Amino acid sequence: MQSLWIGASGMTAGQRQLDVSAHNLANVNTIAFRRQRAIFRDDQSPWLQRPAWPTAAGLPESGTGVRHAATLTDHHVGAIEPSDRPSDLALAGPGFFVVETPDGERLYTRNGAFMVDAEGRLVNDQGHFLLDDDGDPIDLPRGATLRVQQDGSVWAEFADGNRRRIADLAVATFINPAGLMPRGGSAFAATAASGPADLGRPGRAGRGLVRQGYLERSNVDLAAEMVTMLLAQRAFSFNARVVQTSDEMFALANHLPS
Amino acid sequence: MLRGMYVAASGMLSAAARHEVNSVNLANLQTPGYKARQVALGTFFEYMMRANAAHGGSPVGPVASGPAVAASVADMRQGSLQQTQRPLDLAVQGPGFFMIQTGDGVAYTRAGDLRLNDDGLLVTAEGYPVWTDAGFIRLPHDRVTVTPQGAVIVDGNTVARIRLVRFAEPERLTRADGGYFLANAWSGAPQDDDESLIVQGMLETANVETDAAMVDMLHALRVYEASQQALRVQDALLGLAANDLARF
Repeated sequence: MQSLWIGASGMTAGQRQLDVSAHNLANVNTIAFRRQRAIFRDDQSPWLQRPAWPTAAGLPESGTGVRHAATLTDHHVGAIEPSDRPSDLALAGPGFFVVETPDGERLYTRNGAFMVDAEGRLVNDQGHFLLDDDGDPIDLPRGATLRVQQDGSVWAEFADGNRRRIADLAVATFINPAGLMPRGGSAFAATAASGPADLGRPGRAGRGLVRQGYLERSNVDLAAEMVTMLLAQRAFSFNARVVQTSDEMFALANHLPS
Repeated sequence: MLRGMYVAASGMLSAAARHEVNSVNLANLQTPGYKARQVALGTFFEYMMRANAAHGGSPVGPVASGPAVAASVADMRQGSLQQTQRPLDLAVQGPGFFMIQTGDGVAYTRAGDLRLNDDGLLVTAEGYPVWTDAGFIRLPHDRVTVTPQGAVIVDGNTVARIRLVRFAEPERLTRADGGYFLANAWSGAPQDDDESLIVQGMLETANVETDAAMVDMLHALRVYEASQQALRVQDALLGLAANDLARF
């Protein structure tokens, strides 16, 4: 009687889904957060298989429960909303801003809540610098106002009305964004599974346009996530009941001699 | 008398088997495209005789000697569709199956949570390539449209049509690890399915009926309990016969 372990695998799956849903719900207001999804598969572990009962087809068949196959990040774009801060940027469409950590590591994010630091560089709340198409941080001259056009050109506007183009933003796309490694703060690192970053201008080859003064919301759908979480809770209780029933059956088998 | 013990024991064993199937179904409540398992009980001896005849033995008359699992089949009814909005989540409406290539060969599945791998190849969540009429396909990105007829449209161009197949008796397909199905002599060979529709941005949920599974689980538990009681009574009777009958 394998039901005890089968029930346990079901409880683990329910718990895993609850963890993922809780993480998604906690980030429902995190800028540019990408929801995660747990993927489950019917499990037939060969080492747990025993010579089972014959099926209609005359072949042994007995499942061994459920397994957590993968956790995917869902990269569909969230809603873009006005923020009225001139250093807030959003990508209206696919792609990622390219940022650099203080350690010099390249990360990719859609979180465009940047600030201008004391040296005039655009930096986000994680301390990551926004990079231009040459891979350099953006330097805003002292006293100038930041202007970012839809095509990613960055301009410094001076009090006397003069404008100077100081940089061009690059937008990264990946062949398999789901393979990116989440690094916290809505930032991701490229991996072998995601493929290398393909850099290009905003608006070209399917990349989104840059919107200044806008931010992208989390792509978590609150109602849908709540439903998923409730179902996971139910799945957990059903499987707890399986374990309990298996235990009762074991007790009955144990008390066979009268 | 002894046969009574075996009848009671086979009652316990078959109730345990039913419980096991309900456990597997309930464990897979969150598995996309999962098809519930069903067991059919038959009479133990009749099953043995059938097996015997199949191996060259000659059949004898029927003897009732308790239940045994005669068959395990898949419940192939349509599961409900859940909206996900992911462009590579595909649900099949109708009897069709996706055709995929695992390490061991071609397999069939209703789980349409597809993705692109690092080469841009269209694969299942577990990384198995998906068959289309143009073989395996590479896509430049996942912003694709999939029509109900399975045509994959990328940047305005139709690149391939996802293959759907159907079986004469899908209930009798062999199950493989990961919830994939394999064709066998009983299921029949796969045939192209032009009637089933693909719904993009949706996933088919497990078709397990939780209330029925819970009721069946309770029923199996009580049958197990009753069979255990019957076994204890048989044991007590045997004890009387062995120890007390000949006592003067």
